[in-house]
Amino acid sequence: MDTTRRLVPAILLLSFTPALGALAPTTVSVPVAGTVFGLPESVFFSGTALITVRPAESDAPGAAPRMVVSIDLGDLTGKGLSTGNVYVTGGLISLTRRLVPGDVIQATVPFFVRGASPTARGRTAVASFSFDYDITTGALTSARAALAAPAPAPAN
Amino acid sequence: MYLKGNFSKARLREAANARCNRTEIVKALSQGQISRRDLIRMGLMSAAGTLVLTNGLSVFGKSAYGSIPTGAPPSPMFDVQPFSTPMPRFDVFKRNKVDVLDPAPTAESNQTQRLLNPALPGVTAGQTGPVEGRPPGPIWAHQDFALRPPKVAIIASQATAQSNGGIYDPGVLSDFNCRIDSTAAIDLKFHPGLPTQNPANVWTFNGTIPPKLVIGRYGEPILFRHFNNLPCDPKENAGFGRHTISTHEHNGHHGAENDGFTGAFFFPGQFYDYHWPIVLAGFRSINKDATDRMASSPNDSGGLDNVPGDWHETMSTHWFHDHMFSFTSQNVYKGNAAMFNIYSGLDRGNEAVADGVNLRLPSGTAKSFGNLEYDVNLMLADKAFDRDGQLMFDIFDFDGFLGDIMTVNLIFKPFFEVERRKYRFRILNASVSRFFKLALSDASPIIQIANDGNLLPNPVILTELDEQGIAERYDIVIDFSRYAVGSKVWMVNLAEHEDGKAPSGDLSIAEALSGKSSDPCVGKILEFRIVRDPPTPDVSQVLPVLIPNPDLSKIPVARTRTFEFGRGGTQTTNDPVTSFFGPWGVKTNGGDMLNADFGRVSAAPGKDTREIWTLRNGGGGWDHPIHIHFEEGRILSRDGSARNVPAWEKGRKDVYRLRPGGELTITMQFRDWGGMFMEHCHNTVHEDNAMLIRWELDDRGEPFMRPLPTPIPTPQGVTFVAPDDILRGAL
Repeated sequence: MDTTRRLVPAILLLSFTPALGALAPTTVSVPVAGTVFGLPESVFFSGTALITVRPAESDAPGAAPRMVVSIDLGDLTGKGLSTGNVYVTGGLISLTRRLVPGDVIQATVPFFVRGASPTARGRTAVASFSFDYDITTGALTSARAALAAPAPAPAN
Repeated sequence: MYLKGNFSKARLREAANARCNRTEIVKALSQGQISRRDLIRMGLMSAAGTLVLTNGLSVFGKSAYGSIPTGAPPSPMFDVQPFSTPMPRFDVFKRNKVDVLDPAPTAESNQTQRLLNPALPGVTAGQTGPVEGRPPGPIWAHQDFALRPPKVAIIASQATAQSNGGIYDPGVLSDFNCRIDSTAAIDLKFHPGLPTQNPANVWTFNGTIPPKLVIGRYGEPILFRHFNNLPCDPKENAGFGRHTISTHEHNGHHGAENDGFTGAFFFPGQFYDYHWPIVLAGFRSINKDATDRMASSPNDSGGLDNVPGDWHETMSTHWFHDHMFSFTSQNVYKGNAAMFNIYSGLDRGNEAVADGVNLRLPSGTAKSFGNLEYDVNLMLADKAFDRDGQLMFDIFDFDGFLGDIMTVNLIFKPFFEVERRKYRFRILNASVSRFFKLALSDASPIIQIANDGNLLPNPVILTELDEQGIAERYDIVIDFSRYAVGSKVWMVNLAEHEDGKAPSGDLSIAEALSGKSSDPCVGKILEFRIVRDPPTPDVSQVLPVLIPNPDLSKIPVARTRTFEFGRGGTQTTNDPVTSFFGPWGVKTNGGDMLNADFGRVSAAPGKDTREIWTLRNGGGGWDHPIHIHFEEGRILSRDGSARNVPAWEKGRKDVYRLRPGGELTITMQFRDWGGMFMEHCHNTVHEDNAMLIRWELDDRGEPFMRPLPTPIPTPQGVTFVAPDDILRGAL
């Protein structure tokens, strides 16, 4: 990465009622807010992450279902604290995970000034999500979301 | 699946014995000595198609070491280290004048007789057969051959592994190819420190590496003459791979006679002339007079030549590979895979031409079109070696095949030198069953510009690409100007497999880099070395609008169909050539889950119609990347909602990842060319084990669809039989 930045984590904890029926998909909205510090300017983000988890039962005896996870960050917008520029994030995170009682997902997302050229230099943030599942139904029972800085670039 | 090298010797020996037993099964199947029905009768395979749980055979069998399943021993690496050898560019096929072809190509198959080699199965001394393996007669004649005669001839052979003898055209100077000396002989090795592959173990185009690349452009039909120079004796295959082949130009909008139909295979000693007209879809009804400058092709003087058709259908990145019925996985794995860049006015491969049409994507400037300096093909594939370092194929279960050796352009974890500027990478997943999920090691943004070779309506900025299923192509742009000269960054695979069903999980970049994954193909797979500043300023662009989708709003939907892909397939036919038995199947329009039979017509859309198809995953935790031949589609919804279609899937596609338990709807038009095509899972182990259907589009001037006769190839010639099944509702 070409910048070093500090992040103020924004942690939200929501609880949900387990979905009815075995292995039903769950869709929830998690509010996200926080300030990403760094160069060329710090950015305050707010909005919601729309999270959908869909269990896919395995036909192998004893194997945990796979979870098809989609996290839509398209609603998240940021405001540059120096310029007032509006920032947006790269829309959708799409992942395969195993069903476990508690899952921690860490994914990187790009963010950039709204309307900027696709080749304008974007920045990267790390979105972390902690999910708790009802292991019998695959339903999402609680979710926490946080923003964190990317790990330092690996040494050459 | 793969055991670590530090397991006990006894444990590894047990695994090696089990794998040896499994490879005996592959060998017997590939050499035609037994069928899957025989395996069931012998008690080695269950009716569901899985290897029985016996120690010494199944990966899932209990071993002498308690609950640990019998895995596979790791491939020997002979102390080779990753990122210690350069990644070669693809080897560009020579573009010949058509008059070099002898015999000259013909509209109908050339049935000139030649003496057959009695080593071919079913051949006795003195018998003759046709020189060309294409089925004879008018149905398999090249459509529009007189209207669109070939202008370029490409001559290729399928051949056993050999040195390239210093014949290699990377399409760029050596400075753009990691300073590889293209005149030096390259032996067929997956790394200079690994053993040279035996002729029977690897069968590539021309028998050589690097993998091959065809350069084409719209309005310039190509005659691809493919010779089959594989051994006549099917036993000379190192235990896997079938010597009969059928070459599928993946995503080609051509007549079926050039599509590489699974049942139109040809034999050693024959050639097959594939006529790739390279037209824009809709050319018979849209912009017929070629007046739209956006529908154009680069000429040799820097200008444009208009072509008919809909410019919104412009395609860019194809590949071609074997499609031999029930042996695609083994043959493609063995080396029958190459790429095909198609250039157009929009995507001309020259970043400097500013004519108002050219998108000026990273490429280069020296030639009018098709510059490769900053436009790089990447073929990702996982491989496995036996204890001697020779390529081997294992069947595990019928969930798929995974290798433990990650290759890029058929080299084990190479490095690639780049300048501080933008590059385009055309990434092909050429694996058998493995999915990838790619990112840069420092999570820097990547711009995805194309999916399945089609430029997207709008570029998408990502730091982690979506999972990339088998046969999918993702074109991306990476801007290396953010890095200092002398620095390095790596392409990282985040998708972890435990089996061939689907990724077991997608890791974070940090997890993938940690080295803790049990999957040896997770983590760094390609090292980029930033070696210099560009000699001239980077004038390439990635504009906010690339190629908008065709407007289908005024085209009525003629009908809908549903295809469900799952296990438990049954067979209703018993033709010994066309019918196949396997665990997988396809359920059409709510009917039975049927095993593949290329003599069965499952769908027959009407010419010049539009349909909506639902592709449904039958469950079980599997993923299936479904490929539909000939016509591209557009995803309308995933799991019932248009909102679930991500930005990078909003363009045109030809491979559709269903995702575990998922379903999607697509819309397609059927036009321009006729014949029989296919739809199948591109986890080619699934495809080969009966997850394939035939559909067809018959343009014979009839007011209704008419099922075409099925070709039955033999060395002595191709005969035809009537379709042995036509599903109700297909027509």
